[in-house]
Amino acid sequence: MARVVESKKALSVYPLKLSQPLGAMYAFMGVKGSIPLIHGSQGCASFAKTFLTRHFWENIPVQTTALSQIATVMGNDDVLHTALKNVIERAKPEVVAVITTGVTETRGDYTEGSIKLFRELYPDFRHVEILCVHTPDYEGSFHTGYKEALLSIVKNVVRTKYATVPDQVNLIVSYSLTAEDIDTLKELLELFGLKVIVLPDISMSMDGGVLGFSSVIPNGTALRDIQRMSSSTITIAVGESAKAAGEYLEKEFMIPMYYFEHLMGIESYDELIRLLINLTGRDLPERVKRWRNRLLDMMIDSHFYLSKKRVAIAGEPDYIIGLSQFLAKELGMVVSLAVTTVKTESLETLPVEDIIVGDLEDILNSKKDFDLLIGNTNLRHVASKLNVPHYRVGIPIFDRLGHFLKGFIGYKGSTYFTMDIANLLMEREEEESYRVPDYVKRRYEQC
Amino acid sequence: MRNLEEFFTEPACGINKSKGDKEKKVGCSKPKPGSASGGCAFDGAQITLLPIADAVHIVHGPIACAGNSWDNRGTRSSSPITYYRMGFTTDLSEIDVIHGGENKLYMAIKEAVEKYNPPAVFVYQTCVPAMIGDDIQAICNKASKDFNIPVVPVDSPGFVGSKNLGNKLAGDALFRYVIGTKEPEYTTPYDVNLLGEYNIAGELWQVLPLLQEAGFRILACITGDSRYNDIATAHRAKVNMVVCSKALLNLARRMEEKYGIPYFEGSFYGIKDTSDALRNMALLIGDKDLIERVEKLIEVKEAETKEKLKPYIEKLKGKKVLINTGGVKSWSMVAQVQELGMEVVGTSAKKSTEGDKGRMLELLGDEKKLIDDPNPKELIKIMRSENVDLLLAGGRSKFVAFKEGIPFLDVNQERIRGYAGYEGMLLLAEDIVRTLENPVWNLRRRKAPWQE
Repeated sequence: MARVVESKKALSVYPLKLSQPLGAMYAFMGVKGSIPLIHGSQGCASFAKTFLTRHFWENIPVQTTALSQIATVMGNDDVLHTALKNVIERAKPEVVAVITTGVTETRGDYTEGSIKLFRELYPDFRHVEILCVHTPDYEGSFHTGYKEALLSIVKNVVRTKYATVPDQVNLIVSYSLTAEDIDTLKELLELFGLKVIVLPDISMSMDGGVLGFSSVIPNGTALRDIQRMSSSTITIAVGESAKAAGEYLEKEFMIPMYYFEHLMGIESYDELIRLLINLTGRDLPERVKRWRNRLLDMMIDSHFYLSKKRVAIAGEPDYIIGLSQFLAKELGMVVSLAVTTVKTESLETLPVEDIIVGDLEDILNSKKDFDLLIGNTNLRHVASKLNVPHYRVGIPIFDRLGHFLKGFIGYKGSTYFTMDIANLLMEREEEESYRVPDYVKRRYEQC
Repeated sequence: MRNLEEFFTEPACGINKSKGDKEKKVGCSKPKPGSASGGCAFDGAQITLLPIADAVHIVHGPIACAGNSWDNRGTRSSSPITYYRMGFTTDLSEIDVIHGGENKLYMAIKEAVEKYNPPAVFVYQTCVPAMIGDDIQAICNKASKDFNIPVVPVDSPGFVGSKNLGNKLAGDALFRYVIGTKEPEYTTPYDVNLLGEYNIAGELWQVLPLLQEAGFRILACITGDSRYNDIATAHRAKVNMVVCSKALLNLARRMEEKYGIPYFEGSFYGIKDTSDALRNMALLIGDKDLIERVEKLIEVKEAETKEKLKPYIEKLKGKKVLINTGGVKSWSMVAQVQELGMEVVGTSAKKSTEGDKGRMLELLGDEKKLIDDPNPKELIKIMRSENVDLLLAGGRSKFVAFKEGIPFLDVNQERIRGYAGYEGMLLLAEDIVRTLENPVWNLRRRKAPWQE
């Protein structure tokens, strides 16, 4: 059980929190043919674009309504309509995601109404799906923005109940899964003879595999597949941010949802595989099974470097939920502090001593000692001040190449993750062990 | 909100000069909804002021403004205090939006002063608090009195305009609240300021030894590798060099008006521009010995650089390059790569003044090569039709080129190598050759076995 407190500072110093619109935008990075249209000042889009470009090392399609001060005061139906028209004509998207910001939400714009009016005024653009996600910057964080976006997608795109397709399952995934993680799950489900609809699927758009420039999201989950999510037998939701969309499908279309808080380590992945065996009655090929042994072997080989080591983790809630459970319950580490961005229901149940909803400075202020820090690139400021090894997980990671090609879930991903952090600690421990204690130095100086 | 009109009627601005009275009232060109790119006014203001490394920069707004952007500029500083790489923000919540964020801002300034003891605090206004009517000017005044420290309001909500306007708003804040508030310890007849040089990737450091060798002293660099107190004393300089032409021109003109400091526009990109900058600086100071010394230095350095460049020029001769960058670089980079023997097939004129455009035209001799709207599709069209060998642009264009399999070099803020001065010229040549000669471009062109 964790003590959860909210930081009381007036001043954020090393921000950890990312904005809701950014989270919403991230969800659309895995929807084929889509383009986010950020409804706010042009900076709202340009900061987000630069941010995601640095994180993914990919071109990021995004547009803005570029509200001026006059549009901000006087209302902006016209501006939104012009923007929609320009985006549709120029980029030829299948989906435009209108993502609101602090600017439009403070004014209290009725964006849905404005979109409805656009529909009436421009019947030629009927073929384009226009979605709206409400994401004021001053509420929630990346996590809630992502969640809202997924919910908006299923609510608006999955409209009719189709006849059930026996082998088809929905897989709704958290932002904490990398392209490689999504690939792992897709392959696993295929091994069980299942057809899978992944939402959102960044493994096809943000994995480095796209050639040629595109002014919309070049690949990912197709609109047609999202529409057919109502014909699946079950939904597998991975991560708290994916749960609400799964629940909606369950409530609306009676598709049972199986919810996994995370899929790191042995226990949770075992549970997923147990589910799939029961569902299909099939067995797994030997090569997948071997990875479970390899993971166990890696955990044994590394346990001496990891046991009881004190870790601080920082990130949006889904990272905290997965990492803390794997690190504490399976690797035997002590998660003495977690810093996250927004309060969610499960935080208090996590095996963490203290959880602070705050910024990265709260790690410095905690006065605790750590052996390892896990978090995004920005955590490096804190890591260098504390002189503690820093392993990069989260968003943004802009000082490492290929983060999206690394796996963190399943038997294989967990093996590599364990190996990586153990190597970091092994290296540090070895360095430390060669350091001559001061009292020994003094002895020789006296001679 | 301050009256923006004076920026739209700024007499030194080339674009304003070319406008009629009616057009001036309309103001700077506005971004088009649904087909805009580039940052907002807050972005621009922050870019201009953030390099003041020892000041605390507080972004008053919800998390998006600072949370998505902090520590993302490639500016370098020699200051042991590096507050500029921290993301101070009031991180406004819904409650703050309902009840007003003024109190939180005041407390934030207090926390910053107590904990970090900076020489000054800058406070940036953003869209949401501007909409709910937070009076940051009043809060800054009060905080300044209560904590006995300069607290500078930067009135830069994003919706007032583009990044460029933000640069100007920042210049305005410096002129009103900072410059002239302190006296330098001593002055020399050779004191100069650089305006609009942000020490991206350490470019100021590339030209600093050169300026020192020539006999100049940089009193204040506005704002690359600066401290708050340097800037406060900037009014005692003898000459202002405006490095990024469009952004801080109004600051230079107002400093001339108030303090009688003459200014000129220049650049440190390329051999000729670097030499010209040194020359103009010396001429404006008007010291005969200095002028002579500078001429001699230029002669030696130019010869030395040209000699070292020879092997690179042999490799680069005739290669086609497309440039997409803004402001001063849109023309000075043209000159720079032309000095490397490369052929410029196009350069962006989007963020350029009439003066900039004139210079570009002079260098390129063909109006068609000035690209008014360098959107990705347009760039790709040119890259394909002209068979371009290299794209020089900012980080956001990188993947336009890479996705097309075309070599690219980052010449904007995210790069980690500087290309200023004579030394930078060599680095640029070296980096271009390095990317062009990499085997991957040929491999990228090969068909996969299943495509044969």
